Parts: sequence; structure tokens; C-alpha cells
Amino acid sequence: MMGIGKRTPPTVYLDNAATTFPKPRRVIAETERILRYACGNPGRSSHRLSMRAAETVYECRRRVAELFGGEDERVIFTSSATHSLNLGIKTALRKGDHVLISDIEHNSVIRPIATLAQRGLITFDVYEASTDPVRVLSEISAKTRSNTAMVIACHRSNICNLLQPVGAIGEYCGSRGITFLVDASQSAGCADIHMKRDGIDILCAPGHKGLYGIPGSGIALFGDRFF
Amino acid sequence: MDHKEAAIALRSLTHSIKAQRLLGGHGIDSRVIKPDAKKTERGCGYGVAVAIRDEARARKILEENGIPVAGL
Repeated sequence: MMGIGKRTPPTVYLDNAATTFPKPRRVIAETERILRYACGNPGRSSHRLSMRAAETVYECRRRVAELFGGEDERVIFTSSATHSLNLGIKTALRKGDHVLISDIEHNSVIRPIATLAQRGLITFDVYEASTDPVRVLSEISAKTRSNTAMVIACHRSNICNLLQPVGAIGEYCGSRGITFLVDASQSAGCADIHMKRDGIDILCAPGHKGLYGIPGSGIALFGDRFF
Repeated sequence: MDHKEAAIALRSLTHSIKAQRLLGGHGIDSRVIKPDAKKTERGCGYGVAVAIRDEARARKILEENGIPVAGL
């Protein structure tokens, strides 16, 4: 419970899976610092504000890569996890590819995949999500085709809290040359995720949920098979 | 830093900031610069400036750590 002003009644906030609140004071303070003292355009100029902005962006890039076992030069900042997922899906897939998605995927995965399928560009099947690696790998292997190019896993469900064994799925995909995309919208900042250890090729997450960033922020990390 | 500097052009601003930190860790002072774009071959227009006496060592360190020099 938290009071947010004399005229505002105390707020009990239980919608953290949608976006976290309240934001930590250091997030608010750092946002204000950047807006006041480092709000140049990074990568376009060489004046002090621009260089401060560039340093800030790079430090954020470095920390994101470190947190998720990725590489700083393969971190892409986006406006949301939905943006990241669309970027990942549409970057990696080619015409004729087959995709496997779990039955706990969010609309931000289902809609772009279904749209690409409706346009005749890809085909897809749905596998039953599970916390049990043996069970989920049995599902995925039974539905893998010769042209399966991508497996998508919602790491943690926003509906039932189910946590998928991404390490096991990543190992399966890596051994078959299949791109493994993980939607970490509900797990980034809460669960241990390491792209290299878990065999993740594309990791997508919002900045404003478990990472406690500002609204309108997201990240997409690509593995070294891209770019 | 010496007044006489050498400019090392790099492929991106990210590389330039990484280079500055890397060189600092090896005891070489540097600063991120935006050289004349016409003089860079493949760069984004950023790089680092180091004292001329440190240039050869700096280039070697960058090369050994996977930060390619774009040419200048």
C-alpha cells in the first residue's frame, strides 16, 4: 500500500505483470538526470550532450548484454516487447519457413505469426507448453519438420505463471540449426536468463516490467548467427 | 595527453566508446572524436584520438580485442 499524495487515496497496485509500479527512486532520478544533462542525440554529434547520451546508451547496452549473457553490439533498443518480437520474427523468418509456437504465447507472438501464415509466407504449428523438459521436447520434436526454422517459447506465462525450460529447448534447437526465440516479457529481471548458456538466438523483453524501466522501452538481443 | 594526437577511425560510436574504455584499461588516455567523414573509409564518422606515441600500441590493442580500425 502506498500513498501518492495528500489528495490521492492509498493505492494497492497488483498489475505488475502489465507494468511495474512504483518505479524505484533511482530509475526516476536517472531518468531526470538524463533529461537534464545527457539529452543530446547519441551518434549524431560530438558535442558534450551528445557524447553523454552516447555514453549512457552504451552503458545501458553493456549492462543489458551482461545481464542476459549476450553481446553489447547485438542489443537493439525498441519501444516495447511487442516491437521486439515483431523485429525478431520478421528478421529471422523467410518465405516457406515452418514455425513452432507454444500454446501459452501472447498475442504479440500469435498475431504476427498468424498474419504471416495467412499471407502464405510461412506455416506454423502449436506445441503444448510445459515446465517438464522431457514433455515439452517430446511435443516439439514430434512437430518439427524438415523446414522448421524457428521455435518460439514464452518463457513465463502471464496467465498461469508456467515457466518453460528454455535451456532444454535451446539445446534441442541448437543441435538442429533451428532459431530459438524467447519471449521473456514476464521473466526478464525476475528469472535467470543467459543467452549463450540457454541456446537462445533471439531474446525479446519489455523494459518497463521486471526491469523496472520507463514505459515505452523494450529490448531485442540477437545471437551471433545474425548480423 | 600530448598536444600531438593521432586519430583512429572506428566503425561505430559503440566501438569508439568500447575502445576508449579498453585503452584506458591499458593505461592509454584517449577521447572519442568525430573525424572528418570524408577521411573515413567504412566508419560511421567516429573514432578515438590518442597521443602519437601511443598510436601503434593502441592499434595493436584494438586489433587484439576485436575492434577493427576503419582506416584513416
